[in-house]
This record gives sequence, C-alpha cells and structure tokens, in this order.
Amino acid sequence: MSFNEQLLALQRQYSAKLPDILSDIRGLADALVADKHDTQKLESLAEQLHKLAGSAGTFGLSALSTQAALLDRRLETLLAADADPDWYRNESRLLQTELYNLQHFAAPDQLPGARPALSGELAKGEGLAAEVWLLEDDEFLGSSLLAHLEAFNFTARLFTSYAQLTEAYALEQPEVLVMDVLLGAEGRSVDRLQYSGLLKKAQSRLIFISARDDFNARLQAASLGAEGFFIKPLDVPKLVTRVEQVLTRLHAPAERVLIVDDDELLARYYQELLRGAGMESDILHEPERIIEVLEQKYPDIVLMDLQMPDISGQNLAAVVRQYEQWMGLPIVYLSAENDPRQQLKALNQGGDDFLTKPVDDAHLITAVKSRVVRSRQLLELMTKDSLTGLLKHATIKDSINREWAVAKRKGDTFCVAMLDIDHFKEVNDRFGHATGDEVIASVATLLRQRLRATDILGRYGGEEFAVLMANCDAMAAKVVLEDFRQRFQDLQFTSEDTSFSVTISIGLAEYRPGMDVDAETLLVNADKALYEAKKAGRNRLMVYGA
Amino acid sequence: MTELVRVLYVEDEPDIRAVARLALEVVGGLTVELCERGDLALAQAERFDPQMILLDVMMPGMDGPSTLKALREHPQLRHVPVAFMTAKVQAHEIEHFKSLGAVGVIAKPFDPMTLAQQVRSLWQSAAARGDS
Repeated sequence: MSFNEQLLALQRQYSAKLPDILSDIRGLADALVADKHDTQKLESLAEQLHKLAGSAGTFGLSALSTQAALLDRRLETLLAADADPDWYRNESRLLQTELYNLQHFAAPDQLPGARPALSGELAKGEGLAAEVWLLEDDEFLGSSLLAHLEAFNFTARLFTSYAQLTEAYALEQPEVLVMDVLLGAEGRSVDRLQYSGLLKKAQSRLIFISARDDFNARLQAASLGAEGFFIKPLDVPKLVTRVEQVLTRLHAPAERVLIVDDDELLARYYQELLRGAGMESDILHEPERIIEVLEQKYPDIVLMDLQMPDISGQNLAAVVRQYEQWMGLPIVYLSAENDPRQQLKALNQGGDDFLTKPVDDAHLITAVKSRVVRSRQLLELMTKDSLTGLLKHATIKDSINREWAVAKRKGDTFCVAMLDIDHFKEVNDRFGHATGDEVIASVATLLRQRLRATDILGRYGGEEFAVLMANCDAMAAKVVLEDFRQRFQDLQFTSEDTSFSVTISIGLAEYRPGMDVDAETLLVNADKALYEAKKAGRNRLMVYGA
Repeated sequence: MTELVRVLYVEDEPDIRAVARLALEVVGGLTVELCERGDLALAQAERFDPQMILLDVMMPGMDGPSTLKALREHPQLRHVPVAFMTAKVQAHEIEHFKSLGAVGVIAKPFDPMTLAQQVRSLWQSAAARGDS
C-alpha cells in the first residue's frame, strides 16, 4: 500500500469512529443547560473537545478541528468566569446548540482553489457523477437506457427482476432509482409495490416507468414520492433530463442567509439554528457595510433586525433596494414590533415578510427555507432558458463580460466556444419541432455532464450554444470539447421508428493575459472559428487564429 | 553533525499514534517507537535510546509535563531533546512549555505530510544549541 492509501485507510477508520465521538459530546453538552452544575461532566466535555481539536485535522477534517478548538476555548471561558447569570444562561444555551451542530463541520477538506484548473489529459466530465439504478425486465429497452445513462456520465446498473434489485438494495442504495412498475413476468404493479419493504426504506429518488397511463397509477406514484412517471414507448432523452434535474435538486447548494442584528448572541443563536437545518449564514453587525457584504456573500435571503441602534431596518432595506441587482433579494424583518400598522409600514419599504420576536425556532427555519426555494425558482426563470436550463442570451453575455474582467485583472487564461447543431433545419423538417427540441435539450444535458461545474453554459440562439471555460487554455478546452463532440455524435435519437444521429460544429477562441481584445471580440472570434468549421465540412472543432 | 534516526512518540490516542508512525516512518524515513503512557515511556526510552522524544501534553495518568520532569531527572535521558504535541499553541502557552525544558511545540492537529520535517528542524536547532 502506498502512503496515500494508508493515510486514506486511517482517515476512514477515524471517520467511522466520529459519529460515536460526536454523540458523546452531544450527551455531555446537555450538562451545560442542566439545572444542577455537574463539574465532572463539564470537565469531561472539555477534554473530549480538546482531543477532537487536536486530532480531526490530522485526518483531513480541519474545519472540525478549528470549530472544536473554538468551542473548547469558549467552554473554558464560560467555566472560569465569574459570569453575569444572564450572559451565562445565553452563552451556555448557544454553546449547547453549537456542540449539537459540530457534525456539520465534519466535511473532508477541500483541495485549495475552488475552481479546478483543467489539464490537457483531463477530458473526463465533472457533471453529476451519480449512481443510477434501473429496474427493467425488457432487456432490450434496459440496455439501451443503460447506454444512454452511461453516455451522460452516470454510473448505471441494470436489474431485470424485482428480487435481484431487492437483494442489491439491501447492501447499498443509489442516488436515483428508475423502476418499471409493471413487470411482465412478475406481474407486480405500483399498488403491490407500495407495501413492499423496499420502497419504505428507500433513500433514493424515484422515477417510475409504466406501460400504462392512468390517473390512479400516477397518484400512487406521487404518494410514493416518485419524481417522474414515464409511459412507454419511452422518450429516453427526456428521462435522462429528468434524472439530471432530480440530481441537481438533490445537490442544490445550502441556503445562504445574511443575518443583520446588533444583538450578537441572538444573531449567533439564529446562525446555529439555521446551521442545524443545513443552511449557511453570515452575521453582519455593522449595517453600513451591507452592500459590500452582499457583494461578497451573495446571500439567498437577509434576516434583518428592525430596531438597531443607529439605523432602522426599514431604512436599511430601502438602501438595499436602491441597487438594481438586489431588487429581488428577499428581506425578512425580525422585530419585537407588535403593532400591525408599524409592521405594514416596514413592509412597504422593501421588506418581504415579518417575524415577531421571540421567533419560534421551527417557524424561522420554515420561513427562510420556503422563501429561498421560491426566490431561487424565480431567479431560474429570469435567467435560464426553459427548454435547456442553460443561461439565456443576455445572461451568458454578461457572464462572459464578467469573466473577462476577472481574468484580465488576475492574469488568467480562459476560453469561449460557440457550438452549432449541424443541419438542424433538416431535423426539424423531417421529424418535427418536438424532436428538434429533444435534440437541443440533449446538447444541453451532455454539455452539463461533460464540462466542469464552474464552466458557464448558455443557449445563445435557436440551435447555437455559447460556453465559457474559466482558467483553461485552448489546448485543454479542445480536448474536452472534442470529447463532447464525439459523444454527441454517438447518441442515437429515435422518431417514428427511425433512428438517427446529429453532429455539432464548434468554434473556439482563447483569451491570454496581455491580449488586447474585449469580451465582445472574443465572442466574434469564436463565431468566426465556428464559421470556418462549418465551411470545412461541419462536425469538427476549429480554434480561432490557429 | 549526526543524523536524526530514532524518535519516541508518547501519545494516548491510538488513531494519532497510527498516523504519526506512518508520517514519521514513510514520509520521514525515521525509526519510530510508540508508547501509550507517560509512566511507561521512561523504561522504553532507556532501552530504545531515542535521539528525540515527542510528548502529548494531555494524557490520563502521567501527563506530558510530568513525563518531561521525570525525563529531566533521569541520568541517561536528561539530555534528550523533548517536544510537546498539543492543540494549545497560543504564545503564552508555548512560552510556558519551553520554560519546562521542551525544545519546542508541534501544533495539533499536525499535517502528516510535514510532521517529520517539523520534528527534524526542531531536532536540528536543539543540536545546534548543543542540547544533545
């Protein structure tokens, strides 16, 4: 075993013990708020924290170490000080909550640099490399679906009988389970499945396939939590797109909350409460810095105290609303204000909702979560193309402008590519617009799968796409896009029992530090290279100026 | 100047012992012996004759500082450089550990990739001062 493998094995061993360690700490943390002061338990808590602080980082869990050290020091202060009883009560309650939340810091260390640099040999996509299982007794359909899922970078496994699936499912569970619920040989249907042990324990997201469409079957599928119901003959690209949507929702980033409150302990209590519900938050004590902090943190929502010493929440909200980019940002007031007229007045000046202090814990979490979900959906609608889920024309142009400015300042290299579906008009004329849309959606899905999460993808026009690959030179970009082009060419589409494939032409333009071109010119250059690719016979990639 | 070869690490946590052995032996090319208790460390050190001793500070029973005191009173081991391994690394804490006679402090959590290097450089500066 190499050093790295041995180290990894030790890390795994440690991680396996971690749940017990954290559960011990939670048990001891209750002593903080117990009526009787249990010195022995509190000392043992300090000892456990100290150990955790000293060891977790060695096993690749630095964030956990840092947090444990911080809590250890605060526990020391709490126990040592001749503290004011009010402060002691609040601080010990806060500490208890934070100790309960320690597990949220147990994420393995990220490699430095959130944006991975592309190297020439890295032609593997970085899309949602998830595990997808498939139950289908029609082996021909099953293997065709399997091939499609694999082309889109999913790890797929096919099961042809319910018994086979149940056995494997007892050992591990995939992220998505696609099941044919009307298996010929076994005669099982949705209503029988409902009672089966398998779906009761299922952690996977479910998508159902059925040979029959009826309302009752759909209703039962919905009650089982299925997120898709597809009728045979299957529209395979649509099914793959749905799998991808389900996974995107599953991996949506944590909600980001900005808390503006001058009461530090209370703000930190909200922060811990939100962390316990899986949300990230930052606290702002100086209201005058709000615009600067919004630009750094990009929160999904702001929780704002209405009565702060130097400035009122409603005035602060009004300032935020003066900036066009923060017009849609949800702002929720927190206040002890009980007078409905005062509440309405505050809402008039830029707030979206009003929570009265003391805020019920569960109420706060729900209010924040539901607002974030809605505002994210709205943002999607505003910026994303509905057919492909890619950025719209105007938004992708803005993104390219922004990336150009960043790259210019930092001296980075990046690439812009224009892609166009070859002979798209023929596809539309021969098979109809619905099939044409299917082809367009497949380009988008495959692009998302094969490119990095940090690359920016947009639908530029009807059958034209624009791609921005940050921190990457033309050589590396070419490898990735050529791989994409070939994979797309291999995809088989079907319409009216005819099977066909489609090709794509690509033009690529590179930005290097010191080059005297603006974002607009880069797009024009990529477009010129695309034109060259078309002229040279299509289904190829050309680099501008090469 | 001689080379650092033999290191004794006294640490009560088995996970940390395992990763330290890996870090010091595989990355650092050192010969390592591990010991899980302060009171057992003296006899083991007599036999192993380490060139450097690493002591965890917080151990049940005989803790790091008491072990250091016992080492300093031992005729054969009194000159072996000792470094503490601890999560308490604020300036005044480090000063305190040095005042007890440690040549230095290695911060926990340590990075397995650089632990051996840290140990070597502490040993070299101790050797240069003529502690060993």
